[in-house]
Amino acid sequence: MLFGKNSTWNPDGQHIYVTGGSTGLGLSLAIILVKRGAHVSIVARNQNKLDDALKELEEHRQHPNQKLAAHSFSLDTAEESAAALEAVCEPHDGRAPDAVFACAGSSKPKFFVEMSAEEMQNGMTNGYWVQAWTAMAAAKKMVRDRTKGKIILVSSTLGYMSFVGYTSYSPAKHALRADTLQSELMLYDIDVHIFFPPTMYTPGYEEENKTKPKITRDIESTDDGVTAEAAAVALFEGVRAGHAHITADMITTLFRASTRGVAPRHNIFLDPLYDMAAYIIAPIWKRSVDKRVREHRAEHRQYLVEAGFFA
Amino acid sequence: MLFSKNLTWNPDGQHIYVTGGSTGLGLSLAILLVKSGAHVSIVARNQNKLDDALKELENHRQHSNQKLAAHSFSLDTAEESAAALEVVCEPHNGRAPDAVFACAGSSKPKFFVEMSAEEMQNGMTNGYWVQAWTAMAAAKKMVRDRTKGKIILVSSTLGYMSFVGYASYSPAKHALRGLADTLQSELMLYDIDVHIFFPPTMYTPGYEEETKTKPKITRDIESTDDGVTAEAAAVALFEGVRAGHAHITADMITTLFRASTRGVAPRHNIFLDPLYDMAAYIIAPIWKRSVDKRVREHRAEHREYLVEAGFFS
Repeated sequence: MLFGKNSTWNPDGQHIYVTGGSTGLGLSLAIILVKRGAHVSIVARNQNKLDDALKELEEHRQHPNQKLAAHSFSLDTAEESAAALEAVCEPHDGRAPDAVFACAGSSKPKFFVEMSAEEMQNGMTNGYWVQAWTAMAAAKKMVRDRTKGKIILVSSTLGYMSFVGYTSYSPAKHALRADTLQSELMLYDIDVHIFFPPTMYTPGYEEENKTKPKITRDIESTDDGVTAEAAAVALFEGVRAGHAHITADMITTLFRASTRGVAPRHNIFLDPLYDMAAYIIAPIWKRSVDKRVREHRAEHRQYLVEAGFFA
Repeated sequence: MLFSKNLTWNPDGQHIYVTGGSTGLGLSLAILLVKSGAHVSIVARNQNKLDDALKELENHRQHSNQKLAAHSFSLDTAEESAAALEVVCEPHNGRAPDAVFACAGSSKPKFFVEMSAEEMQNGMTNGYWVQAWTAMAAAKKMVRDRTKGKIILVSSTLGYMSFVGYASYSPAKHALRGLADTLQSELMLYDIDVHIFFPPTMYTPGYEEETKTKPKITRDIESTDDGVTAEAAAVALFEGVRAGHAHITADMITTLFRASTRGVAPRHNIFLDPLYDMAAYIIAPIWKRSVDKRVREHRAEHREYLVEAGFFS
């Protein structure tokens, strides 16, 4: 148990702000929160998707006084993220939300040597800044309002480890993981959680596969993904249980237990077992991945030749 | 042993490119490389510091044919970093260096709620991009030249863990770790080795600069950690690369984190690593509990500080 003050967090009657809330994980989570009686505000870019999402949220309304809202904003910059937060808070007397779930983000896996500088930068924007700016705006507002709220970031299994294909994405997901805020926001009684989902079968995943190198797909083929709904349930339950680091599948749980840095532990009995399992399994997995990468060298060189890399 | 093809890496006669090479870790490392007989090119911003550094490198010259050079460049953007690399390679027939040590970087610790967006972005530029762009330019050039080279990034203990004060710096140092672990896997496609160094506090000019803005609570938490000199850190980095370690540390505390935070980074030692991991398993939560306690006790004083700074007006 991370935080002794609440035995279980209950969002009923609270105002929860969900970014990336019109599709995928964000939408599934927003639905769970609406079903639990929370006031829910979602933000994303595309107005059509937001309209559809809001209709879906309405279907799960529990009370007539629940405030459900959708706003279109980009979250790429500090200014836009702060403006989004202000718009979201306006129907609530301008007060800070009780919890902010930063589910916004996307990934574009590609070979490093084929990537442009812009793609590298977009990886950091779409993986890290779209959440960090929201966290910054929310933290400042919660502190000013003296709201003892929650900030939840969404990283990835690729925030615990990485492999070929993710040089623009994994750094962003590792950057989100830096446990600075979990420590620092204790100064204000603001809780910080971070979710590490595996592959989630969402529209974002379809988009990702358009550029994903074949070797990356091959390495991932042994991992089971989860649905957005299942991921949202794991995230919700993890926040309720007060876990600082939250996972939704066993592989990522093994990484959490063996990669924890100073993140608080979950379970004094299971965590050592996970750690020992990871100690044996992770190097075996790594060896098999290294072997696949090395075997791919000739095919890859041919690929680069055909792509004109050496011209 | 990470790479069985080289029992011990030897820089003698190789061309090594060191960014952030005019002061601190980069300069100390460059000196070691010159003493080992390498051709060394250093890049940094300030021309005066580069001139002084080049004079110092000359003092350690081993052979008359060693090429020692210093160039002034910013490394904040992809374009500047690629331009720096081209200039560095010119005296070597335009060929890619045999190894690139990305030692450039700086830190500005501050309270998150007092930080401007610009400070947050500068943290990522000065902690991550100044190295990532160099890695990108170097990888592309090594692949085109078919050079089976080495790329070395420099993270920090704060790339393994974090605490109050480092919201602009720790994400950058964690990001480097994500990049290094991805590249360590991906650049096997080209037989390019990737290493990453996690130094603790290093007593350098950069450290002096850092303490100007560092919150008192951050200083208090760090006061129990011993730092190292730039020279000692450079030796640890050099030895780690020679030994073929993917993740390199220079002090016991960071070593404990390496062993307990490794993700899929290759292990060092099949006997010691489990012992480190078990030690960290017990020690890290105790340390964390003591830090959390200090932070919570600091709340009233911190609120007073924010009131005086005008945060609530």
